[in-house]
Amino acid sequence: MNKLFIDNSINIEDIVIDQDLDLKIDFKDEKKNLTINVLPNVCLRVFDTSNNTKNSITYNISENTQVIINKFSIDCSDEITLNINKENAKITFNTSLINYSDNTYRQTVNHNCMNSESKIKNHALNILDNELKLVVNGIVKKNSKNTIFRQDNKIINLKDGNSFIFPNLIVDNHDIEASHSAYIGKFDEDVIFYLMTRGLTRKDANSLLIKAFLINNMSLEENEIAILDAVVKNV
Amino acid sequence: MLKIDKLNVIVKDKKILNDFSIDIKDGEIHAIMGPNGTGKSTLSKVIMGNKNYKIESGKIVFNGDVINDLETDERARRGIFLSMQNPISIEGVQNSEFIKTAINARRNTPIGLYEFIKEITAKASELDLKEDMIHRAINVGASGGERKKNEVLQISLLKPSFIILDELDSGLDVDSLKKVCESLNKYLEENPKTSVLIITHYPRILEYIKPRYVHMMVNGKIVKTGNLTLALEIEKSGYSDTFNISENKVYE
Repeated sequence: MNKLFIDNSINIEDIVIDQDLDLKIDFKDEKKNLTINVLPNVCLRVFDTSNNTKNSITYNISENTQVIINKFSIDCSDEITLNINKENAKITFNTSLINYSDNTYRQTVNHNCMNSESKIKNHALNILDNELKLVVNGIVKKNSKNTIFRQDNKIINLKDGNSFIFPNLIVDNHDIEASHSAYIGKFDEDVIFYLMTRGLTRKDANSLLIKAFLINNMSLEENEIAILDAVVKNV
Repeated sequence: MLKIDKLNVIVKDKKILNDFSIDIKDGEIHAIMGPNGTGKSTLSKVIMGNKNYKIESGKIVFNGDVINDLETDERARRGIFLSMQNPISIEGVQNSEFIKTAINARRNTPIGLYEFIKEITAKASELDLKEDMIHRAINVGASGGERKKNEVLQISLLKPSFIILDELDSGLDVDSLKKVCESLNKYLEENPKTSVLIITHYPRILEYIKPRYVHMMVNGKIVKTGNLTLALEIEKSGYSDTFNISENKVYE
């Protein structure tokens, strides 16, 4: 598969993807508008490791496409929009966020056609006492028969952060499958106790759970796991 | 090995253990039987240092040291292992990674990957535990039997000196129970100083792992001690008749 790497050094606002592609996005301290147009019959895999960004990224997705996005970000107030415009598009979008300051992460999925599928999974770790908002909108239009839309959102507060999830689902067609869930809380004390009964310190138990929560919820390759492992170890 | 002296424990203002005492010496196997809600599982969690249970008075002494104030993980590293009644599943945490981390918590230098894989594969095979259980997230999608086998797998790899088996037989079919007990007996043969505390409702497990003492526990304390005959008597006559008290008193 072809590879494309985008970071701060590349001044680009529109990308057209007309063949299978591995796209790596790595913006730092950036506020950028980016539109990614995925043309028909394309398989796109995105690995986004942007940090401290306020980006606005829009994906326009055509027919017979498969898009897998793994986004791992620290202190992210990005706004991501997925416009599923044509039939037989299948989207998997896994986000893992580490939050150290006040942030709002917005994600909108517009199902504008029939026979499309999107699965959204957002996991966020709010480290300190800051405010973190996840606004996740799923909009299924009237003409979107046979759509499957699922969103699953979790925020773990390590301390006493103010965390909010807005799992919005606006559906205008009866012939679809849709679900949304939201959980905000701490790691389960029973789970930590179980790990500690095997000799792990509370810190080691937390590290294992953080890694599981942020990394193992995404479908990553070995080298990508190694990159994120190093980041997560410093949490 | 483990001596508990007049332990009183409260949970949410309710006394669960009431002047509980027991003395388990090196290499001894003890069994505790008792009706539901009498404090058997509480006892196992208190020995393991669960913070939900408050010790009002009394001492837990392990290998000569009072461990009342030790953290759970330190108790585990000193050699206490609690095989839980309902081992939980943990999404995303790979079983092998967890067990490897637990092994390394007991070592000065980390275990080599090859040595670890060789050992865990051999022990899992002994237990007829499917290999994918090793690489799966902890107990996710596992049956009750697989969960109990996973507990015993951890015992064989973490090598504790004091094992608490909290209702090991629940969720296990006859064949699986036999297999799990064979594995435990092999471990006890190889490590003869290891002591075991079996918590159970039924004497079936005691046919496979034979205790030296059987204790009957009612209302948070041991009320009668005997041998395997006591367990058979309890099964035949029930707790009320065995202790010669009314059912109301047993369950109060």
